[in-house]
Amino acid sequence: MKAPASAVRAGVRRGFTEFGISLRTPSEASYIGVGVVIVAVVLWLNRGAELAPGVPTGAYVLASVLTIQLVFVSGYGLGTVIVTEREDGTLLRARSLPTGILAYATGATTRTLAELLTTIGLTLVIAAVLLGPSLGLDWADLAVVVGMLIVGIVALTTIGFVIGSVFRNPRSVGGWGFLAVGALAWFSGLIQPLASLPWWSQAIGQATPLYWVGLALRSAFLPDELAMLEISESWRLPLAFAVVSAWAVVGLILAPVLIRRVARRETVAAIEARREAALQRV
Amino acid sequence: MSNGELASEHSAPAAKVVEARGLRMRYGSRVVLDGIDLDVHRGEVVALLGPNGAGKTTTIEIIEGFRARTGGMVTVLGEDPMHADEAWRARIGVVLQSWRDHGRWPIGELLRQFRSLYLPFVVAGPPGPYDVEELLDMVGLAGQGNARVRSLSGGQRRRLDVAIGLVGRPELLVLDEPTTGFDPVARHEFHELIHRLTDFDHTTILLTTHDLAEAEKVADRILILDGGRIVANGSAVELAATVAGASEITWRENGTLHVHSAGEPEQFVRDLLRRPDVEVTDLRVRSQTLEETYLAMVARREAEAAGSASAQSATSARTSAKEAS
Repeated sequence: MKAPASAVRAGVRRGFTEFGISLRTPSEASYIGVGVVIVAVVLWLNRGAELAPGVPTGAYVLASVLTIQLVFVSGYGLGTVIVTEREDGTLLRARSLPTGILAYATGATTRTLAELLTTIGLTLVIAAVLLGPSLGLDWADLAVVVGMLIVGIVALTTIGFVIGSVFRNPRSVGGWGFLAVGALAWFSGLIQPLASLPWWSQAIGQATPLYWVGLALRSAFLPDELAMLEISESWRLPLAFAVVSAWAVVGLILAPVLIRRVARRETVAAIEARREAALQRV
Repeated sequence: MSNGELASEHSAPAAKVVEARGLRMRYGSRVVLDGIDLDVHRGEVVALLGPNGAGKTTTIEIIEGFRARTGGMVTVLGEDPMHADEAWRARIGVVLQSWRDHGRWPIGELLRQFRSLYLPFVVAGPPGPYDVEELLDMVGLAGQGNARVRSLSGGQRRRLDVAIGLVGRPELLVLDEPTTGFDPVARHEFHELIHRLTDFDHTTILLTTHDLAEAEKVADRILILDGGRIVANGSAVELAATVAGASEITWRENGTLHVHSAGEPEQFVRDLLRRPDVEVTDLRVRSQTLEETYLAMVARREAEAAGSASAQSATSARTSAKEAS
């Protein structure tokens, strides 16, 4: 009982140390910075545009941007970190330490949450400045935003662990993963409304958690009349929370099993083999 | 009954920290370990010596609980490594080959992070994990706590690996090729460290190396692993005496150089000097190094495997020479 609690504390410290190092590393800090600047520029360029009379286009963009940030940092980002750290021996090192895997997983989660909250926090500040009262957020809307972000973070962070466990090669996650996230964003109605896409992409989109996260956020940022642009012409909030929660539960069950399985399979020989392969490719 | 058990426990010369019987490992059809028996007693330094591909790394990965064996029995600190818990893990220090992790971390911070994982497992009695500054000093990285792991040289990186293996003050320290990338000074310091660990902390140490001089210098006992089997087991002196067996005696007799090989050179030299009418000069007695023993052993094994008649006669010639002396 005492050891796991202590490992979680060590993991949280580990996560903040990793995040602090990232902020002090120019290439990684600029990765966060550039993303936020792009958001600011997009919102600025759309500042005069209206989706409907009195409804800024920026509100739709904001919901999509937050959802994409969620999938980029939690799913794609965490997945890449784990695949990379499997290759460089970090996971095997964790395995050689008592409660090391638990501390490692807690650390990776903490680092991801810190990065996500920083990114989303900055985005919301920028949105508040540029869009301000036109978002028309009341307390109920705010509760939906915060609630969906929390459930969404759990769902996508655990998916990040699953991605990190399933893929072997950091370079393939980097390249194909990037494309996959782009395609997923499109299928999930984050680029244009899903209701305007063909039936088969609606089917794909509604199977992913992204569509539902985006939907819930739009329900908060947009006036109720715009629900008619959505599939079945409603916000379907209870269903949105149910689907994303289901993903979160699946992730919470799968992630610890997979990460332990992957760590168990790490050996010096496996790490050597991947390094050899990586060197030959260059 | 229980009294008897207690007594036998006390009278045991030294508890076994590692015990393996008939250890087997197969990858597909390739047999890597073919029935290894291995004992490491408390406080001992044991070197696992062998050419590349002999199965050294596989053996210690099984002992560390990183790899499931195909067959046989292994007990480490009283438990089966594949089914041991975190408290067991806290009693073992691991230094594996080829780490490239945590490149961005300052080394002091990294050691503090890992050290904290051992704290819940501290038991009354023995001192707990090492202090980070003390540890950096022990491995020769004093004052470098703020250096990033990535900025270290290969040898410094290896010292850090050793420090990480040690941080929990393990009862058993397992090292795979620990001195790779060390210059002679670093190597010497590492050997000093091993001695210090066994003298002051009674750490049991199992290490692999293909550096024979190193095994000779640090190990109480050397196991030579070849082709998935232990082909020799003993102290450096025992191995030199029993396996290849001989000291080399050279001298000049009335100006002519003579060479003789003998298992126990004292008697031979006594007889040599007692002979009248012979002026013996430049007398030298040199015992074989483990290196020569080892090379002879590997060569003989290869010859035996080839099964050639010449190899057999060479072996029997050596045996008869030993018996003659």
